[in-house]
Amino acid sequence: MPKRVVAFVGELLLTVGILILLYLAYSLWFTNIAAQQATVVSADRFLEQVRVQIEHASEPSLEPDPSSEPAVAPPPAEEASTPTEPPAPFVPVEPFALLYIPRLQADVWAEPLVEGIYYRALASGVGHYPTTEMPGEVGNFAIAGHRATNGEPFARFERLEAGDKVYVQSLDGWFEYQLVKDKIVQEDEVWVLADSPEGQEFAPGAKLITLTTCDPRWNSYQRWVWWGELVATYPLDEAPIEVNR
Amino acid sequence: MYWWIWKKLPGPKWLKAVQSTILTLAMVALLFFVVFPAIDAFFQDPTLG
Repeated sequence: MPKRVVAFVGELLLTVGILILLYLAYSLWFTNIAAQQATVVSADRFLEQVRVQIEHASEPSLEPDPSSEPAVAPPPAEEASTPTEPPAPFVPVEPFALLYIPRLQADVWAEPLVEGIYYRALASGVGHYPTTEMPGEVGNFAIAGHRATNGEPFARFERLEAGDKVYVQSLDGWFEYQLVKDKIVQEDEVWVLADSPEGQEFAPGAKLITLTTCDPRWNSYQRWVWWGELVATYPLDEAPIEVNR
Repeated sequence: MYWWIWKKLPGPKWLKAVQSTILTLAMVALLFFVVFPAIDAFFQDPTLG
């Protein structure tokens, strides 16, 4: 065999090996950097919306016509093309709420909650299963987060305990949930998202939250599920926790 | 292949080394910002991790 062919094949194999290692570095390290940077930016933007909403609600008398309700969403003008943002390798999905879990603080503190559980949504924060209820509603508010890669908000999911608080801050106010019980299920067991999950002894009219993530970590053939119940709600300007990061 | 690129690069050895480094970094950036995200998005698997 000519020497040049052998050399070429050798270089090709080397290149493939390097590409695989680079993809690992990208997946295990770079996606986290990118996602965490993007979530900080979108969370700040949401907190700004919250501030506008609170100010708007507190001084309705200044409005020339009272017909414009404070419930109207704040104008998205201020978020139009802010060039100071750090460049993100992908455009994050905009959040409809923020998630706070004191037990997982730093990982899940002002974590964007976005609609959908598709790839880009879960890289933008914690995703809401679109077929389930919204925060505070009767039924099940079910969400999913990565346990490894792409920001991995639920990386330390195993630290959660019954009784832990979970806070959701939407433009409608604060929702305080308390975790009740957990279970590890197969990946296709979607019954865990039901309004009153089978055999879990939740009252039919309960307002549930369901947290889901991959189990075991780095794998995806099972899901770790935590259920909680709504215990309190607060107006937007009466935060039950110190929001500062 | 790599030897061929090395020969094609102009200038003395140190300049070739600088150019090789720049080329390598450019390739890594292309992979991290364009190719790998496209691969991930193509598979669209939200269940990973």
